[in-house]
Amino acid sequence: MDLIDRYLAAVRRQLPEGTQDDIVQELRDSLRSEAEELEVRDGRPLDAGGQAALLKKRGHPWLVAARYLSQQYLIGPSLYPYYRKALGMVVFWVVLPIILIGGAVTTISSEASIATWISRIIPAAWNGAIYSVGIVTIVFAILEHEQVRLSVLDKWNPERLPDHDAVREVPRSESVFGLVFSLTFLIWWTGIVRAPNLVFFGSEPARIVPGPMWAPLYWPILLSLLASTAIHLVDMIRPWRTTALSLVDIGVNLFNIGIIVFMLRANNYVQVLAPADYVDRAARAEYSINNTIMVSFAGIGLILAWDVFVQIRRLVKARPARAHAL
Amino acid sequence: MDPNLFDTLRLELRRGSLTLAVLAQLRSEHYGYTLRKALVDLGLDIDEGTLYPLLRRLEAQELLTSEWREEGGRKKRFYKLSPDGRQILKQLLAEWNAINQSLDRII
Repeated sequence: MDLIDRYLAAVRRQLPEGTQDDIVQELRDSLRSEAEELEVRDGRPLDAGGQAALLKKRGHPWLVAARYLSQQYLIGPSLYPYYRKALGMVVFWVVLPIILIGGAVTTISSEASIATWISRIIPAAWNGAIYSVGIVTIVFAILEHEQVRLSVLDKWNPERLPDHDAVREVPRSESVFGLVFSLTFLIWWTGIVRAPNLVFFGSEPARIVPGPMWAPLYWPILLSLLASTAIHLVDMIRPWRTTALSLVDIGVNLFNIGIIVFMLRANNYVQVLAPADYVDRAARAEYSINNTIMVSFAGIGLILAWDVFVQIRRLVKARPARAHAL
Repeated sequence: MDPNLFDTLRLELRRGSLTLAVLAQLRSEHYGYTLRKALVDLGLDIDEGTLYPLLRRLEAQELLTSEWREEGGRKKRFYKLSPDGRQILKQLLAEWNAINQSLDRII
């Protein structure tokens, strides 16, 4: 097998099935024709050095094959600015809680030397950042793919744009952030990705298990996450909020507030299981984590209640404007 | 200034005109190697890595037809303009002439 055959075999490996024979045969003819022309010019057969120079001029086999493929983006120019924004926000909101909450819990539950703190929190924050980047990238790659297939941004009708005063336009950054966040939570909730261990006793990681109060909440929370993901996806594709979608969103938020109220009546969100030598420390860590969860969910409940209030006020304000327009 | 700026702009300028040149040259039948030589001889340098994928794209768009035939002891793929290709070429040439005339007035 001479260099030209080896080159063509390397190109073939990068081509999609079904096109390989056709393309390679045409390239072979082109290369052989050029080689013959050089042989006539020089009056001698083309040696290995001459073949190498000829192939070098044609370019690396990967590049040659790539030119036969249609141009494909993992994340194209229309989504890339939002991807970067979502990436920054999600990484920030994943890494920051790991450092703050994880740092506080580690300080309470272990000897809390700087070296211990760094050796546990930095890897946890790093893993969190990598997971976030991966999830955001996968979500945007799917959006890119679907956008191409559905041509959402091409097939639009200016006449269907709603009255700007009457209906809210959801900023793309808000819907993207919401979508990525609810998907991340969904992936964690269904157990596809596990949170890193942040509590250690000595060198052993503690086992943190969910309390029994979660059992009746698994399906309601899963349902709520699926609904939130769907709403953010619709907002992302069609950023003009209709009254119907606003009502669905309000309904989902009220449902979530109900879940949070149920949760706040309990206080055994997690149990920290530790060796007998560390029972006191485990109890303190458990108390700290449960309080953090309670405060966090109370805060989320207040944010949701405010969102419901704002959305209802917006709908009420929109009604006279529409009536006037009619 | 970006040192590659001229090359980038030159590439953009050439991209559309290469398609026009290939379509025009394929009013008579060629296979890839002779087509490239003909274009180079007429002053339009085009590398094989650009030409062969372009031929496949134009054929997929039904502007060219092709057939494999044996010539000189080797199988070669011969291309020529399809009826749709002739129609498009006519329209593109009209567009090209209009652009040329406008540019002449502007420059």
